[in-house]
Amino acid sequence: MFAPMAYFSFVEMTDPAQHRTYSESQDLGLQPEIRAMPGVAWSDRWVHAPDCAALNNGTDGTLARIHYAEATWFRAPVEVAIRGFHDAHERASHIGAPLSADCIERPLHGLFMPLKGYTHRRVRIAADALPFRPARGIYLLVSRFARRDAEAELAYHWYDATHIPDLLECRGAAGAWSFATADVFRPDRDITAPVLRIIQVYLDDDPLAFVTDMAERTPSWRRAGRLADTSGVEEVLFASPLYTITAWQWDWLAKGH
Amino acid sequence: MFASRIYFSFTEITDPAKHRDHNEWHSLDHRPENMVLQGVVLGDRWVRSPDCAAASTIVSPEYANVHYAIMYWFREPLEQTLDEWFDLSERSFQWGRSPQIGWTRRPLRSFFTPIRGYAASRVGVTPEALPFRPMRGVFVTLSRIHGTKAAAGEVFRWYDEVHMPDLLSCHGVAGAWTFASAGSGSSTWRFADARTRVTDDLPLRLHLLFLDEDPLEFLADCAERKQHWRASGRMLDTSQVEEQVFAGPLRTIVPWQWEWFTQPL
Repeated sequence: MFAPMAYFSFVEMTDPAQHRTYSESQDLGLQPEIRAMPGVAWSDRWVHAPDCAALNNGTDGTLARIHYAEATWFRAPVEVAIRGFHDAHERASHIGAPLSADCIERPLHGLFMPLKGYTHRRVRIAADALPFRPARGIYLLVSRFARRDAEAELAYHWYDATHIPDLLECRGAAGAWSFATADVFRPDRDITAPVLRIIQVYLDDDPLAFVTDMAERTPSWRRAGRLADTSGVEEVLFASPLYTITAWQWDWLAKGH
Repeated sequence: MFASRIYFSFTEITDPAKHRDHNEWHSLDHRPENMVLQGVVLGDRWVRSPDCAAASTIVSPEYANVHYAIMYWFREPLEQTLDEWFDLSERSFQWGRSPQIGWTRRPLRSFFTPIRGYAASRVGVTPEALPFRPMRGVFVTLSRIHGTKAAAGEVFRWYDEVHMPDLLSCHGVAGAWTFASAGSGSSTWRFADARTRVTDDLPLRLHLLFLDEDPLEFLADCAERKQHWRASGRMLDTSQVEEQVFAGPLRTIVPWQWEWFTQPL
């Protein structure tokens, strides 16, 4: 595994006037410093533009309002990499953050363990190379699994053996990665606590076209018995496309895309 | 130093119909695979689009047809890094994923040692972060170095103390890095076809300016400022020490926007 740990962060800007300042500070300031760190394999950011948000199929009201998702992959040794990552944020704040923390909400952020990578055969690259491959966007599925039992295990198996391979057949899907919250890998974990999982699909075509194609394919998956009812154990908190962020093109929210 | 060697190469596409294939191969296949390697800090590539080629200020004949520049930054341990880097290149060929072999020429490919990075104060980031910072292009200067060490030292000092800081004041210059040609840093690593290539006997020096505004706007501003620098004694005749063989702008490559050679910009 090229990166045994990842950090996900979901960001809501509570002051709509600050999007450009935030994106400038991230893309031209903090993110280059983070990418230069030896313990960071890669770091990326996507925008939940209004047309993406309109397609969100998750239940969580706070996640529905997010404007950005950010992910950073850490190389081993992970402890050193994460310490450096935190230090970079701390240094940035001491230099003088361009934005008040009051206008940024992070309804979900934390460490996630990469579980498995998948690639569509047409792209030919290794799953480890997916985060480095140009993408036009991603599709993110954030789920809370209520229990650690046989029903959850069946759902995980369905995602791995059936649903993610089906998603990869949808328009523009180049590959995917699955993640589970890092807490569950601690020996002293609370096995009764709910578990968060993320599935990230990398898209090299229009993210909205992926969602449309997925909706069109769903009836045939159902007829073929390829859809599982996981609602007894899984709550889908967020299921939405997001666009790749291109530097200096930060006007999605002003334009409504 | 976050990277102890770089690889820098100029690429020429010998079949004009292959630019799209070349960019698809490199951007969507080869570069992502390289980026997974532990020893590869970053790989990047820029295009010498027709307007950039027309705006080049110095081009020796061997670089006249260059279309792309490619660069990889490597971290220690170099021996292992370059072994893995070369293994990937050969494995790609064995996988049947190295189609560029049929349409590329590389009139320059060399290893360099990073000498020093400079970041413009306005950008805020460290020089190490510059290669990761979004940019709109680069300005590349490549020189063959000759003359005595003392004379070279004077020129190098002028670059470091006078000229690089002046260039940082030009429109769109976010920062710069200086490099000197070097061996690979590995005792065993060699280009397999080194004997079939013409190599430079003279050491090379490479300057890379990172531009966050249009490269042609930088050039226009730089030309205006040079008159002022000359008038104020801030220019130096370096011809006794260096022969510039390439000086020109290149544009950042945006995935899927690969039409520079089929459409007028």
